[in-house]
Amino acid sequence: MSYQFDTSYIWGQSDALGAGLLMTLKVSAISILAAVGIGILGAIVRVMQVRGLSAVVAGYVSFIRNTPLLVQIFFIFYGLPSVGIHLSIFNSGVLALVVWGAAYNVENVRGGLLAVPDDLRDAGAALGLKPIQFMLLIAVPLGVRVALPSVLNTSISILKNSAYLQAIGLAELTFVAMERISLEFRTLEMFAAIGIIYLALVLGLSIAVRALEKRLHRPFETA
Amino acid sequence: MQLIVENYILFGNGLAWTFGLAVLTLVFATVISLFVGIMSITRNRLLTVAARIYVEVFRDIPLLVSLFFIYFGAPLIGLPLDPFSAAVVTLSLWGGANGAEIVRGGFNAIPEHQRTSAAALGLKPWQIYWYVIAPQALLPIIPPFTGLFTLLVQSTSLAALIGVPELFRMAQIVVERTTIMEGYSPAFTIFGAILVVYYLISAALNALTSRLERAMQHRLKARGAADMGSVRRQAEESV
Amino acid sequence: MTACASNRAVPLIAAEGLTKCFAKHTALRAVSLSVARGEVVAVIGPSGSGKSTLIRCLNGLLVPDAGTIRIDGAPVDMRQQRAWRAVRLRVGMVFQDCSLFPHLSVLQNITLAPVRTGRMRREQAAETARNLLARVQLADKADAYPAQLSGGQLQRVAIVRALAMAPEALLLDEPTSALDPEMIAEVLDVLRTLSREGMTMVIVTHEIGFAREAASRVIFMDQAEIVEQGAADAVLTAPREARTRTFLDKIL
Repeated sequence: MSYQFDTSYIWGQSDALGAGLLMTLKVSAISILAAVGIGILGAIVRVMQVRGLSAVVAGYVSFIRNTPLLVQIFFIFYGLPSVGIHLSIFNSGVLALVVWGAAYNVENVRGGLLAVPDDLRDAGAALGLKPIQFMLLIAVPLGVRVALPSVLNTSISILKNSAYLQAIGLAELTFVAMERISLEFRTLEMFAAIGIIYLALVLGLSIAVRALEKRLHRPFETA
Repeated sequence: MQLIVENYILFGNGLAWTFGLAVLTLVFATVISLFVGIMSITRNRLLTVAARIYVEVFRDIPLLVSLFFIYFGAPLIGLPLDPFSAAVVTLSLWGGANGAEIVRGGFNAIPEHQRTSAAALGLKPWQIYWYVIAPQALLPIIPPFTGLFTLLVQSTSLAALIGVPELFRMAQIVVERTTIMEGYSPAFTIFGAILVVYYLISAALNALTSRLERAMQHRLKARGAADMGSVRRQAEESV
Repeated sequence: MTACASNRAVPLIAAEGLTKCFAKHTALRAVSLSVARGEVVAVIGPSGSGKSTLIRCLNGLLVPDAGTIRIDGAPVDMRQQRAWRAVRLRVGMVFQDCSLFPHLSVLQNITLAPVRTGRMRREQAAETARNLLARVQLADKADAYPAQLSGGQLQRVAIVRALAMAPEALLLDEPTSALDPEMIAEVLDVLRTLSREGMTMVIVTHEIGFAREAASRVIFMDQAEIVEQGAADAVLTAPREARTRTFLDKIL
């Protein structure tokens, strides 16, 4: 084997990698937050069976979950301009990840909302709460806690899938690494570097959410 | 629409490559899933740790990065892979890692007393797994496996990025060619149509697996198996 | 109908011919019930006799298939969720398994409805809640979470939660049957106090002793119908109907 692994090369690239990492974090953070928000809204629409809208959301979820994210990204970035919607690379990326992640979160949160016991629904109704009040004050806070592990999984997937955006030229971590490789051919060093960074990000995010989960569950064991 | 008709040979070829990728990947990934999944529930520490590391690495690193790594990295260790092989290897390893987690979740969800009571009947460990645990663990992991299969079929589109001439790559080619030659971009129609094709493939796959699930449910019920709700939920959570 | 309710002015709750079916099974067959202000009505009967269905029909948690309900003389439009909500604001309910909201503290559980339905401002609701908690000896639990309380404490909080809405009547669906024996007394004590203070109550219960002592009227239900009703002593010590007697013999 003639390949010489050069650790010092990685350190020399820390500026470029840092910039890529920052872009990955930025695009992921925005997408994760928006996907959670829209996911909750969509789940409410589904569970409350809002007439008309509920079927639309169900169709959206089914379509997005059963088609490749990569093609969705290309559709948004290359396809939307021809119908007059021009988005920057960054905005296209965020839109694609949000549309994709929210579809999964609708199902995640819906599962959580359906797990809220009927007894509590009766109790809320008996106290004179409107269905929407019950949903927002009781079901969502409880259901989101239940859905947290699956929402976490989806959020981690958003972070990992932000790598797909290199295909439309967003200068995130994978893009930066591939660009360096094409110029300097330090293939193994670059992959080692971004592999470790992604591992650290995913593990870090899981640990952070486990801590959050523990905090949210502290006041009560049930639900 | 006309573009799709004009280029039907291209798209047909692309579809064939996509199917080839998908079938090989699903088979290999399933084998790896079962193998590694069972590895991870043995009592051998070496095996479980090895399984753990494999699963963690492939699940946590973006699939795209793994694909590039295997495709561009393989030649460096003197094992050059053509794009198609690199895609099959990567997708299989990735699907195997995710599937192993599902298998592990399915086995772990079987209540401990099933094992103990089987042991109390004098069954050997392999008999316990083969006759008692495996049949119960198998049914509830079908839905999460369906999800994984759908995801794998979708992920074959990544192969386009290393040059495998599958469906999505063909779509890109048609879009590029039309843009250059005709002066307008058909991306909206072409990529939209490709999305619909993938949707139909997924729908067919879902129909197939849910039929399989019903058939198995039927057989298991005949054998008097208990409610699988909790087992299934736990298996699903592990995806 | 017995004379008991009909000679008062306007009954607070007047249900006429309530019928409720589930799939093929009739849970309530043309049941009529009227409750005067200040009355404590105990509903007893074997499980599956329609007791819970009856009181759930009174505030629309189950919508009756047929019949009418009047609150204070005004008929309830039973097809309108809004009409039922208006009923629920006047008639509180306590459930068998207390159903406190697990993610809210005791105080938040109590103040949620008064604040959100626009009855009270937050500070006022909190003050009311603390006063009520003190009355059931739970003043120190205001900031505890449901998971930290015993069954009896939970049920007392559930009663306070209903009372915080200043209801004109309370419906109680087997409020003690999910409790350990030693906790039943503390809940019954609270209910006794309420009855002495003149709170109108309809209680589905298995506590015959409590019914005898605190209820002004006892209703015996069996197979989706009211079999017998009257003054507590009369029904419980000298039942007229054979079915009532059989039931009482079995549980006493």
